[in-house]
Amino acid sequence: MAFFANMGERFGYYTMLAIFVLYLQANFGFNASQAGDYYGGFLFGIYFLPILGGIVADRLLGYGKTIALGTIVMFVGYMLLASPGFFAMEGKLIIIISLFVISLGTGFFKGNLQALTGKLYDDPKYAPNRDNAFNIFYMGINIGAFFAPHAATGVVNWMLGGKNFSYESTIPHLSNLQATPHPFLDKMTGTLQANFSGVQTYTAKLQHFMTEMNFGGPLQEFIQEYPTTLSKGYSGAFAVAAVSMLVSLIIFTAFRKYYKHADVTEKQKEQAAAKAGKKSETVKMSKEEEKKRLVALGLVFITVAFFWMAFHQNGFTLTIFARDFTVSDVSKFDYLFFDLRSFLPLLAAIGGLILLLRPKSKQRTKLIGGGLLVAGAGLGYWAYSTFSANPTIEPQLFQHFNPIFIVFLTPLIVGFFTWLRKKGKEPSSPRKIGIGMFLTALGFVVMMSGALKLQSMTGLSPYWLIGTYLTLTVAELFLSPIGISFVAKVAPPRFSGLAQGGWLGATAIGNLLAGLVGKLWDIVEIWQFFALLVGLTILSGIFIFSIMRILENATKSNPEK
Amino acid sequence: MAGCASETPMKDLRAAAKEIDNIEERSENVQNAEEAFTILRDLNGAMKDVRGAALSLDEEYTNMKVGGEEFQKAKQSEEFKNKMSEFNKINSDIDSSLATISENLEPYKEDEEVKKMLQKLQNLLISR
Repeated sequence: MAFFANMGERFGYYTMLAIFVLYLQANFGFNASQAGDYYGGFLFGIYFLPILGGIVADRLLGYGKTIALGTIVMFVGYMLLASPGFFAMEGKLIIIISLFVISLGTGFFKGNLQALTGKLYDDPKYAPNRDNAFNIFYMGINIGAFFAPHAATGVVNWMLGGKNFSYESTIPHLSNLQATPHPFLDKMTGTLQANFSGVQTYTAKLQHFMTEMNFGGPLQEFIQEYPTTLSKGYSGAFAVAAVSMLVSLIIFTAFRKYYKHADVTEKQKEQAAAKAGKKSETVKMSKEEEKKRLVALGLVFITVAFFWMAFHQNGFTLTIFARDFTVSDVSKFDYLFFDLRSFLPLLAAIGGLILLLRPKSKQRTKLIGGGLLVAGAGLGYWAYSTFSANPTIEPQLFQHFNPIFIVFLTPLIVGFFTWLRKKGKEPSSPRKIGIGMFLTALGFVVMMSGALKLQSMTGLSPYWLIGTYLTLTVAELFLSPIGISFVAKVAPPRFSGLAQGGWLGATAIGNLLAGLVGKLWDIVEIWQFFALLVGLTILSGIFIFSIMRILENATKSNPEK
Repeated sequence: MAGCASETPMKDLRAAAKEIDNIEERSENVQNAEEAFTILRDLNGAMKDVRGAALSLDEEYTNMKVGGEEFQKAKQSEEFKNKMSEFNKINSDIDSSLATISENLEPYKEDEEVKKMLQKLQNLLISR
């Protein structure tokens, strides 16, 4: 239930996020910095308001009701965001209100769903499975995240296709340049053209797009009609996000019987006991014990903020790196990894091969593996045969590697931890978090090495970034779901919701730091930028190992769970 | 306080022009395609700064219409004329540096990596 409810909510969220900056730029002509302010503020709200959501659940409504309220509030927010494109409402105010409403709804939803999932494993019988359960819960987030950008693109393309347009991300920006006066830029254009042949101008580029899309009218009409249609497409995608909130709500409500027993806060337990005139069944934790645990959580939150600072370079500087320093003209073979029609079958074929060759596989499993291998290879080959001779990749396509790696690596990592546990060698949750920090550093070592090669070349092979995304994903799996599980384990019972909110709050601070560190991108050499990330993540890893005793003691002293 | 708002972009423009002037000097000693590539890469970065400064200076006119009455009026203002005059002065220095750099790099323009970097420069105005 938690897996599917989370998947639905995250699908909507990432559908919206995939196009949000593009929407702001297309609709309001924002430059990257202005769009970045809205984006940063929204992300901060998304991860910071769960602290409020945690307090509401712990003190007032309980987990279930707060989560349901969250989905309804998010639905309203996404509908508001979708409305300007359809009802021609003007102004940025509606956008700001929508973003706040979505953040508030997410605040009610996200941390409390994590807290409720953790409560399902409070029973000592199930407690050893808590880390693995959160790994699977985390997979739900990423299945939603993986399909979301493709859904958003699909809706936008469908709207554009209605007018025989095709998607070109630069048209709104170029249209804006064409439609308004740019006396200084025009002067600069002249200077550049005078000294270098073949310099492209925005007018020429727009005319090129008009010809490509067989648009018969004048340029003036094209630069008005294309952005308007595109904006409606974006609104359609926001409406899809709203619908997925409803689906999430239906799943969460319909399967209540499976989590009802865990949907009780400590306060509710006390109230129920008082009402029945019985002694409360809640475990009273000493102030000293609570303090010890809150300190342990605080220390982990500090470290985790540095992880998210580094990790969330994926939507920022790593995407700029993909755009500016990665070759976009690739071979048909390379393109296999960038087209869903080939990438998914390829992964299915690899999965099939593993099932087929695994010594423990039974006859039936081997048959399924063989089937997957043949079907995957066949579909992959078919997709390959449809590619043009010189395919090009868009920078945002790199975004699909992280969620898909999560989905395919989760069973491997869960299997690895289970194998270690059976041998009595499974690292504690805080140790996994520490290892995750060092793996993050390794991911940026790859980028640093690539950046050093850029001293003498225009662009790197996409495999540098793919390799980094792979390493960062393994790091994420060691750190993020395990961290959520650690919070569920260590949080004093009366602060369960608030503690999960605190975890997300640390993510919010990490996101803010990501933006601040990202500002160095234009100031220092690229390799130096990545070296800084390597240094900071190594220091965080050392820090977490230096306080390991405090953290492991907090996990061990867990008599009531 | 008229003109204050444009001080930072003008400062950025001057800094970029100085950088392009340095690149021009370095381009005199280019010996091979690798060095030509480095010169073009640095020039690309500096021209991005010029574009950024030009766009910042343009910002106050982006609510107006091309050929509209409001823009025509703005163009007649003292403030605009002063800014444009200063811009033209710096731009003319950039122009002369670009001419020299382009000429110095001529023998290497057929090199594969140099060609790719040149293409980046050609697309500078239409990329974000």
